[in-house]
Amino acid sequence: MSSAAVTLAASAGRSSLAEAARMFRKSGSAVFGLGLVVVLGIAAGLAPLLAPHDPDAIDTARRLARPLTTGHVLGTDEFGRDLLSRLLYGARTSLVVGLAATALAAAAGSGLGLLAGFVGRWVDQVVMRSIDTLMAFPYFLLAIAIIATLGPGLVNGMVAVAIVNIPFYGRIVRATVLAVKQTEYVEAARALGVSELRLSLTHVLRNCLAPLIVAVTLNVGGMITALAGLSFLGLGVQPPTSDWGSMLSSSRQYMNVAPHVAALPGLAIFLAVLGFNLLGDGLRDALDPRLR
Amino acid sequence: MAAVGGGGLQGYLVRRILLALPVLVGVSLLVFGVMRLAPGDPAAIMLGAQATREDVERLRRDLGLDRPVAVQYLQWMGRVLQGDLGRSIPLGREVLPEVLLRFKATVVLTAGALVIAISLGLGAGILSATRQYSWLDKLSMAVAVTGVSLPVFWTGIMLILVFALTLRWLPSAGMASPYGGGLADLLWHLVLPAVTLGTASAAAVARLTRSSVLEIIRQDYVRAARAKGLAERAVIARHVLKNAFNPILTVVGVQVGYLLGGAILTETVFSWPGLGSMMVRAIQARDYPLVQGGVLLIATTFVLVNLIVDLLYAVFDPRIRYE
Amino acid sequence: MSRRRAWGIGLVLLAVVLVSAAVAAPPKDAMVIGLLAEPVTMDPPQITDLNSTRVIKRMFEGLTAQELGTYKIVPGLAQSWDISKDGLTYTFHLRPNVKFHDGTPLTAEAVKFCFDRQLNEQGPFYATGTYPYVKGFLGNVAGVEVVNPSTVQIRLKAPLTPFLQYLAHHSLYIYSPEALKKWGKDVVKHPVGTGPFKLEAWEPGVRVVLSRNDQYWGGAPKIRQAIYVPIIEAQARLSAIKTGEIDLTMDVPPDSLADLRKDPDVVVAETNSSAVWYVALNTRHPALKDRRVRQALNYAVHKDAIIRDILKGTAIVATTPLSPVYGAYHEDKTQRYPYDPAKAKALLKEAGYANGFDVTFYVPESGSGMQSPVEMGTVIQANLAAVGVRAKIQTMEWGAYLKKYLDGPDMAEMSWNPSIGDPDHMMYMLLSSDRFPPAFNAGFYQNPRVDELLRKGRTTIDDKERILLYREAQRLVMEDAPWIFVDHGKQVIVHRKRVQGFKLHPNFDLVLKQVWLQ
Repeated sequence: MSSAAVTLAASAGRSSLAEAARMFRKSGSAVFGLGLVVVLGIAAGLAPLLAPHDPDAIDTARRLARPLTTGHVLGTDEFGRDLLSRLLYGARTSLVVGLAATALAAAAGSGLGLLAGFVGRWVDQVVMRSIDTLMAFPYFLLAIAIIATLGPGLVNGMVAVAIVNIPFYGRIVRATVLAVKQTEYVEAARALGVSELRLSLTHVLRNCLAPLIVAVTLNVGGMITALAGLSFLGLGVQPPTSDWGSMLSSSRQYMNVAPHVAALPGLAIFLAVLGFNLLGDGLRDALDPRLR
Repeated sequence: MAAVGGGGLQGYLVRRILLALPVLVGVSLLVFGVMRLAPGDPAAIMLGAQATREDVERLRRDLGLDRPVAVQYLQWMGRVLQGDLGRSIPLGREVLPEVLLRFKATVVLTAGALVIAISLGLGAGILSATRQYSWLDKLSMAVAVTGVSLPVFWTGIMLILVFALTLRWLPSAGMASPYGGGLADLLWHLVLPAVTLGTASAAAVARLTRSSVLEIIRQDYVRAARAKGLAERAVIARHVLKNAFNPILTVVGVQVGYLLGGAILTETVFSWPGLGSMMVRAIQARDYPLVQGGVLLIATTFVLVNLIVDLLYAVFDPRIRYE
Repeated sequence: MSRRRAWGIGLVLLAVVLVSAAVAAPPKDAMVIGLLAEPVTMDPPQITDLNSTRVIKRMFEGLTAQELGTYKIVPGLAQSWDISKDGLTYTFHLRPNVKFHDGTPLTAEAVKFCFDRQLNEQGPFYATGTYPYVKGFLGNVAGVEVVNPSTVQIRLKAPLTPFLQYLAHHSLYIYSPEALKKWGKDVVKHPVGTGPFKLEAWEPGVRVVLSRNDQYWGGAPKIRQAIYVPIIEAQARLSAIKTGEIDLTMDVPPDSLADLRKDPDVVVAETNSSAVWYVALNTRHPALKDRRVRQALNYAVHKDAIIRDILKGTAIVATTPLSPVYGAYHEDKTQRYPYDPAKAKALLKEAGYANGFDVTFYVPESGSGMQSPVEMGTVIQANLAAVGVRAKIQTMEWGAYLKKYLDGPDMAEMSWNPSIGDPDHMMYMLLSSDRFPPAFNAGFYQNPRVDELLRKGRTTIDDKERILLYREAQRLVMEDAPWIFVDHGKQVIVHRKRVQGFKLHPNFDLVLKQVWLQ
């Protein structure tokens, strides 16, 4: 492609980026979502500084203390461990693993989608059938079966959830690739003799970027919840490490005497997921007005 | 691919079924393989701690577990095609009636959740779209994004805490009262789990419906109809809904799949005797026949639902029949 | 669908719900029992889980029985028996006029049939099931003979003192041969025994309904129906017993017991059991092979705190494998390993581990009799960390965990709840060097003197002599500390006031034949 055309496309991109940022700032809920995510990030990143107690310190005499008892703003759990500290450290686990799982799924899924979209023909068919197979398998059950194979644990949970989400990204990327393959300026560029590979780098990825960013943001919440769900069933983190899901699970038998132990971790999951969802909505509205 | 089976609805159906078969085979291979990769010998687990090594070996031979995996797979598939899903290893009972019974319970739960999801979700989505930017729109979308963000197991626990433990209006677990009961008893037990499972789904449906309907409303021909002076309701009924049918159908189809496979956590929280909770225990017990049978049933249902959805697309949109 | 219609449907549903919320009062002659899980199978020789036994023990009986509330052996379907001088031949005289639920009579032929089914691998009915206990309980049997229709003889290969106890085990219960011939493998759903109750209906996952056997030889029970419902969540069992939706249940969250004891409509019944909860230590592990290290671990764990705070008093500290329920067999020395982290550190230093060591600690997520495995494991881990021992927890679900346990892990929790009351059953299975992995002596514990004592205990007939043997064995085991001894779980059953005459049984069974309802 001639350098003039490239510059034109690039500058069009730049000004639309400023436009997108402006749209984003206008939306109250998007900013709120961003705020939640930032708070989450701070909580996760600065947990060692912010936590008033060691999250694993057991004090069985002070079990199930209500919120606002001295020394424990949010109360304690069934071992006497400070809830606020555990929630902060839990943010680390949930956030890091959620993001890692998303990155893994997005990378693998996108790779497959690119492969299927570009190479086409029988490779496309094989990849699509595999994706269909993966999707026909009950979502959560597949994750459980994978854990049964790999054994429980944080990393294995992350891998299981990532695998189950690959089809999601695979489809998005493949659809984008197919759409872009057909647009006029790609054909024009081909007429000008540009190689296949450069086409992919300059056009397809740029076109994938917006929907991928939106998809990833909207998906992180689901990953966090899925991981919490696995921990809820006892298949995720191992004691004494805890994430919000396992905290919620072990709190169930104390619901009668100490409902706060059940309410707080769930609330944390909810706020985290809400933040990502609002952020994702805001990004989608800003980046791709057609999708609004 | 386009020509196989001929044109028209019939041909389309044939092509769709042909595409679905490899998926089912793939699912069977996947579940077979994953289960056998998992450590843990079903014979040892079943016989428990006090069994000797010879006992375990003998049981493995009886169950055919000592043969090569490929042979085991072919034998199993052969029997499946004749309608025999085998016997559960620890339960000693036949898989098919067992799985169908639990499936019935899951279907009841899914149906209840679907009713809530569709009635609340569609209604809210359409209303929001037609009154875009109004306070109603903002409120229902705020509620929807909240619903989508709530983890389903937490919602269940909170609902139990409020409605079952504190207010004592509704039961906290199970599908039926111990002494048995009719439809009323079933509905009474169904309320909380269906609401739990259905609200997450309703929220998703509302969001997707809204965006689908909005897209259509912006189309020129709708503007033209409005310009012609048609009443709002008529515009919606005649043009918008008919064209929104496709994407809405997609959404519903996806929800059915999600609900069927994703009811595990709800079933666990409410001790609902469905397929999901049975499958979790079957995986833990390495009960191969039960897990394989259950997964095959869910996958087949999912594929069938997709097939029906595709068929309905083709009925309403002739262009699709030639894909 | 319009929003109005959605509201309409919602209102109708609400009306239906509120109308049916008026739940009928429970019937006067039927009771509901909330179990942790539903029964798996109803064929006695194939059962390995506690909840299946709780149901089938109402429908089947064995040649011998346990007196309610103790492990004492009393006549069952055999009203008397003779044992030959050499201890090899047992002759049982069957109770007359006993019928199975299908009307066929109990005869010596029927008894022989049931034993042969498991014993004779070439027999016609061997393939109708799997028999996990056949080697353990019938491995010593040479043959079963019919003397006359009401007398059956069992010959052993070698004298075995606990044999009468074995006959009270559920895997040796007597069932109708006609039923087995008729149903084959499906007999798992069609139980036909001689017991005070028979099966009326079984809806898998929902309920099991047993109804009174009016022809029962011991007199028909006072209640007409017993309904078992599976309630997996402890929380749900608690709310169900509080509202009266069920009449009897077990394993409610220990924190709720204080509240339940104050409730006038509810009775909390407690008793010691024969269960023991421990952490098996691999005596081949480089650090754990030193006895001082194992003793140190026992001093490091704060057992009283675990019992007080996590189990809320529903257990007593274990000082030996045999709980006080074993009567004279229980070695009642004062507590040997009080909580003493300083002593633990001193012992570790003496053994050369002043800086502690690392070890993998396996913990099941759940499991029959495991109490609160993850919580207890977490506390133990913390206690050990306080003296420098770094235990890394690896949780597993029960199926995988059992496999791991039988592989000889470094450190793993286990609970043993014997259903028969002979000390041999516990100590030989768990601590004899004849039972190295893949059998149950997971830590490869071996003490030649203990082995000798346990082997002798199996063949000694004189009670007083046996008691001395087992007590010495327990003292040696306590000294060697192959386990971290933690607790003997108590049985805690919660039932409504209207259930009268209920008595706890040491092996966790829920006996109903003497119960009536107010």
